[in-house]
This record gives sequence, C-alpha cells and structure tokens, in this order.
Amino acid sequence: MSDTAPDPDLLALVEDFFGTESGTATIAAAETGEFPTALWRAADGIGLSRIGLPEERGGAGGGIGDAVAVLIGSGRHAVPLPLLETWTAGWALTSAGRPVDGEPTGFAATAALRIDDGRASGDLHAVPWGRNVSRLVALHQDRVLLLDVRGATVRERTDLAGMPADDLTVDGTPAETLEIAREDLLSRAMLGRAAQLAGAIDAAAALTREYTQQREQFGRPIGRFQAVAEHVVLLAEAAAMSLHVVERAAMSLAFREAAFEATAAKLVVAEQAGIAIAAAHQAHGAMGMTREYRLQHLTRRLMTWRADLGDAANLATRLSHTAVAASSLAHLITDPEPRLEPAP
Amino acid sequence: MRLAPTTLTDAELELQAEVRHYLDERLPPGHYPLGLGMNGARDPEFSRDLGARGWLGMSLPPEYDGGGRTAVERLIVVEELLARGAPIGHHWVADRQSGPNIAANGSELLKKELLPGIVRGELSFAIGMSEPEAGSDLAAVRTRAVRDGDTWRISGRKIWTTGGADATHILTLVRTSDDRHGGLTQFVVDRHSPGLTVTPIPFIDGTRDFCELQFDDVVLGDDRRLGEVGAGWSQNTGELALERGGVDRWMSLMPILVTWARTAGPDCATDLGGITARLWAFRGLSLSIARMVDEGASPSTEAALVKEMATRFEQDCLAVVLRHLGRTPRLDADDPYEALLARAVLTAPSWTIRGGTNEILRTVIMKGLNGR
Ligand SMILES: Cc1cc2nc3c(=O)[nH]c(=O)nc-3n(C[C@H](O)[C@H](O)[C@H](O)COP(=O)(O)OP(=O)(O)OC[C@H]3O[C@@H](n4cnc5c(N)ncnc54)[C@H](O)[C@@H]3O)c2cc1C
Repeated sequence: MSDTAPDPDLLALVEDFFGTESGTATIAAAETGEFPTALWRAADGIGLSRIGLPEERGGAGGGIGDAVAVLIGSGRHAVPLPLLETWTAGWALTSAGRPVDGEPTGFAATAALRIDDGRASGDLHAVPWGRNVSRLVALHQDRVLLLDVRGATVRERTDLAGMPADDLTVDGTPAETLEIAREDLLSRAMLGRAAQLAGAIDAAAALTREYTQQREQFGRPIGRFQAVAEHVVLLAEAAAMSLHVVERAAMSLAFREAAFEATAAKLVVAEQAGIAIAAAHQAHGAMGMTREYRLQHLTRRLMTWRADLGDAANLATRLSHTAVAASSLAHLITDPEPRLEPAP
Repeated sequence: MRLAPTTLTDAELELQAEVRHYLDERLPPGHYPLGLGMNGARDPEFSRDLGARGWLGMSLPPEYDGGGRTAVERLIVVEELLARGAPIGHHWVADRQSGPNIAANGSELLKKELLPGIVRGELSFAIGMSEPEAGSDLAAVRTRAVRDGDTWRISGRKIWTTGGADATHILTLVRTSDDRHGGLTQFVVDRHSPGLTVTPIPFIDGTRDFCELQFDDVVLGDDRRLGEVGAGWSQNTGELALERGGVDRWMSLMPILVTWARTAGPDCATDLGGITARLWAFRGLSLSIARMVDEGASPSTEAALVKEMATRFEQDCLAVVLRHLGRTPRLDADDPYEALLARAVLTAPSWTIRGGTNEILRTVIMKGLNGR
C-alpha cells in the first residue's frame, strides 16, 4: 500500500490562500480580460504554481498528490489562474530536463502546425490563457513541442467561464521538441483537469447544501423537502466519487504511467460534472442563474472543462478498446496496473 | 466525506490469483448455474468447498474457526465469485452479515454453536426483518417475543424473507416491548422450530426463494437471544451497514457485462467505455470502504452512498446491454447468458429496493451529511 495523500499543511494552506484570495470580485475582474497579476505573484510566491515539480529544476518540490491537491483547491475556489496549464507544461519541461521559471506557461492540447527546421507555423485553437503566456507546450501529432509564442498573432476569445481561450497564429516561431511521451503528458493534463472538476463539484455540493438549509419556502428550509434533499445527495455523491477517482489516479501516476486510470477518472468526473450542474442549479432556483451569485463561477467552469482533453465519446472509445482487448472486463477493473491499449 | 484510495498489497494480490485459479477449475463455464450477483444459485457442496479453503467467514475470529482475516480479503474472494455469477446462494447471507453480527453480539454459546458451521459453509441464514406493516419503517415491527421464564414465545408474521425455505437458520428482529426502537431484540431461530411455517412467495421471475414466515407461538430458549434485550435496533443498523457498501451492489450483471465486452462491436464503444470507467470507479469505492472497516471505522454513510449510486448504475448497465441486443431476451434461451439477461430484466427493479430503498438511503446519507 502506498500513501500519496497530500501533506495536511499544504491542504490547509491551499484552502486558506484560495479561500481568501479568490473571491467573487477577483474572479469577476479576471473576466474583464485583465490578468490577475497580483494573485499570480502571490500564488507563485508560496509555490502553488510550481508544486509537484522537482526543486533542482526550479519547482517547489512535493509529489503529484500535492499538485493534485492544489488543482482541486483551484477548482473549489474557481481560481482565475493558469495553474493547470503551468503545471502541465512544467511537468513536460522538467521531465525533459528543462527548468521552470514561475511565469505563467501555456498548454495546447491540439495544434495544426508545420514544422520547418525548428520553426513552427500555423494555428493553435482555444489556447487557455494564450494571450498571457510567452511560451507554451503543445501536443503536435506524436510530439511534444515547446513553442515561443511572444510573436504570435492573438485573436482574443473566452471560454464559457469567461476565461481566456485564445486562437493563436504563429509564423516561423522557434519550436523545440521535448523528449517525453505525448501519452504521459496527456495523462497528467487529464488528471489535472479532472482534479479541478472534482474541486468545483465539491464546492457546488457544499454551496448547495448551505443554500438549501437557509432558503425558506412554505415556512421551512427547502432542504427539508425530500425532493430538494435528493439534489443535495446527488451532489454529495458526485463529489465523493469524483474526489475518490482523482486521488486514485494520482496515486497510480505517482508510480507509473497510468493512462488507463487518468482516462477513466476524467471520464467519470466529466459525467458527474453533468449531474452536479443540473442538481446544483435546480436546487438554487433563479438565484443560481445570476452573475451576482457564486454558483455560476463553479458551474460555468464545469461546463467548460468537462469536455476538455477529450470528450466523453473520445475517452470512452479508448477505454472500450481496452475492455475488448482485455482477457476479461472483470480482470481489467481489478487489475492493479491496467494498461490502456493504444488508440486503434 | 473522503473515500481514500487504496491498493492491494502483494499478499492480497496473491490471494486474488489463488482464488481465480481455483474458481477457473472449480467452475468451468457452462458447468454451473449462472446467477445474478448475490442471487446466485444454492449449491451447498460448493459452499462447503469454499469453506474448506478458508474463504467463508474470513473475518470471523479464529477461536471459532474463523479466518481472522480482513474485510479487504473477503472483498477479493467475493468479487471473483460474483464476476462468474457463482452459486453462492447457500452461504451468502451468513457470510456477509449473520456471521459478523453473531461474532460481534452473540453469547459464547451462540458463537461456539454457529460460527464454525458458517465458516464451513454448512449453515445457511435468512434475514427476518421485514413485515407486512414494517418495510422501510422497520421500527414498526410487530412480531412479538414474550418472555416466559427461561424461554420466549414468538408470534407474528415476517415477509420478503429471501431464502427462508432453504435456510437452516433465521436471524430475526422482533418486538420485546413497546418502546419503538428500544423495544426490539434479535433472535436466532432454527428453521425447523415447531410453530414456524415457511411459505414461498413466487418471485417475479418465477423463482421460489422469496418467503413468508408465520410464527405461531414458537418457543425459544433465552439462549437463542442475540445480544441484549432491546439492543436489536442498533445491532440491526450495524448489520445493514455490512449489507451496503460491498461489491455485490454493482456486480449483479458482471457475467453479462464480461460476455458483452468480449464481443462488443464498434457501435458499443461509447457505452462500453463509460461502463468500464464506472466499474473501475465503483470497485475503488468498495475497496476504500472495506479498508476503512479494517482500520476500525464504521463508514455507514459512505456505504449507503455507494449503494445508492451503484444500484442505479446496475440498472443503467442493463438498459445499455438491452439496447445493444435490440430485442427482448428470452428466459428459455439456449444461451445461458441470454437467459440470465432475461432474469435481470425481470428482477432489476428490486436492486434499488432490497437492503433499504434508494429513497431511504438518501435520507440516511442526508442525515450523515448533516451530522458532520
Ligand atoms: C429482492 C428482495 C429481497 C429482500 N429480502 C429480504 C430479506 O431477506 N429479509 C427481509 O427482512 N426483507 C427483505 N426484503 C424487503 C426489503 O427490505 C423491503 O422491501 C424494503 O425495506 C422496502 O420495504 P417495502 O417493500 O415494504 O416498501 P415500502 O416501505 O412500502 O416502500 C414503498 C415505496 O415508498 C417509499 N417510501 C417509504 N417510506 C418512505 C419515506 N419515509 N420517504 C420516502 N420514500 C418512502 C419507498 O422508498 C418505496 O419506493 C427484500 C426485498 C426485495 C425486493
């Protein structure tokens, strides 16, 4: 048995820092397109943007469980920072022997590029925080590239949560291949996104429970109505299952390349996100539909993130391929080290 | 609520391999009656064979011939059995809940008398909780035990008793005073006690495992009492927790899913992938609960949560498999998997009822959430 549970001090720090610093006003300000520089500096100052990366390469140390704890916290508090992207890119950089620096770094899961003699030209669509980064790690065919995007033409766009998701066009920009496996990077990115989703689901569950205890109709708290309590229970279930699968996949990834677990976790959490969105909004009535109230910061992120890095059909197809190839589906799901079959 | 992830140790993985190896030989496909999870067929000889290998009553104390092993080790054995749809009906209830309940609450006499037989796979228990007027509201139990010197006289009616006709013993919850919760007491009743009439109630799929028990002045010695007078409600609640978080709540369809996965075409990919991910998730949750039990916790809210989700998942899986089959499966099909699927169609509605309905579980979960 192996315990990769995050350090309790770190958990307390994450809760305290994001809880204080990522308030509704900060999130709303970020939606106007202004990068929350002060928040980034403060987060980086206590190592949150470099956690789980080796100290000798400029990281803050700690394991993948710690990184996941930070990402769960960032989802729970709808933190408007490129933490997932910087961590994912940072893992690619440090694994390829490069240093990380504390600056926001981008991650692009798809790229349509031409590479000539170490220079890349082409388009990168919907790059989270594209306008705010000077370099990014991109998945290009079978390769992992590090691109300098300082000279990129940026078409500013936003995702459903109002965060930057820009289209970038590069023309002959320096591109270096990072010698790491694309699959391994993708697993970490999926796990990181699943962690953020799980955090946001957990927060939506807590917020809904609180709201239904306070809001009164027909002379009593609405949470006393069984039909409303059912929404609260669905949310608690979604949170418990999501946090569990994320921690479990992180535990596997700490020891080996666990593409199966990362994929399964992402798929499970994305599905639970759908359940959580519906239940949380239904229990909140009109209040949850306004920009003034906190719920939308969480649900808009769930709506954006759930299909990131492979939608349900895409991920399920890979798992299905693995299930068909397994000696038995029962063995596959009890296998301590399941192997994801390569895409057909 | 945190359901911490856990992995199997090397020793646990060895047990898994050993169980697999044994069952591959003992239950060659096509040579045993396929069952739907905990509804597996009754085969006392198979139960005795498992007992001989030390795979029943695994967590019971060694001084009563129990294995002194862990909840996780039991889970490993059980999931291999359920994956094959093995004939576990004879020992299932005793192994899952009656044995642990007797070990925790029984007198020395009851433990000495009953636990070794449970461990050997000889004894078969049924649960006599529900009554015509006491289903979800179990505290409304009316069947009464009246003290008469050193004996108790029991009268009343129990219903929905799975396996009541074939069991050797019934573990029942009866009223010993009018105090709603504090007036309930558990007894172990010999199935063949004079005055006890067991009548099968034909089940929806035509099977005759469901029973009604009529107690007409059944006389029991006080030594048949399990635990203190009035302690029945809390013992019963503890028993329900054992009933809930296990792999049996999401494995009813496993033999069908295993077969389906083997032959699934590309049109099944999205569904099969989604089911694979969720099976993997539920397996982790059940394992997490078993580990918590071994660490001395009593994760009853967690167990209710897993059961509530898992039983709905089982029903979802059935709908998916049926959609891909594209026709109504036949009970009399030559293909045993199709016949099993037909039984699943008929019995699946009961998965979210037995062991506490999902509505009641949601109330249990809600109370657990608010209590924290
Ligand atoms: C296959 C099967 C095997 C069983 N085996 C056994 C056994 O071996 N031994 C045994 O003792 N019992 C057994 N039972 C009985 C089982 O425990 C009861 O069926 C269950 O507790 C529900 O009780 P009920 O059937 O009387 O339904 P009711 O309690 O009458 O419920 C009917 C409906 O009303 C809902 N309801 C009731 N009260 C509430 C409430 N307060 N809030 C919201 N909804 C509510 C229920 O959820 C359900 O949907 C078995 C049942 C099944 C289906």
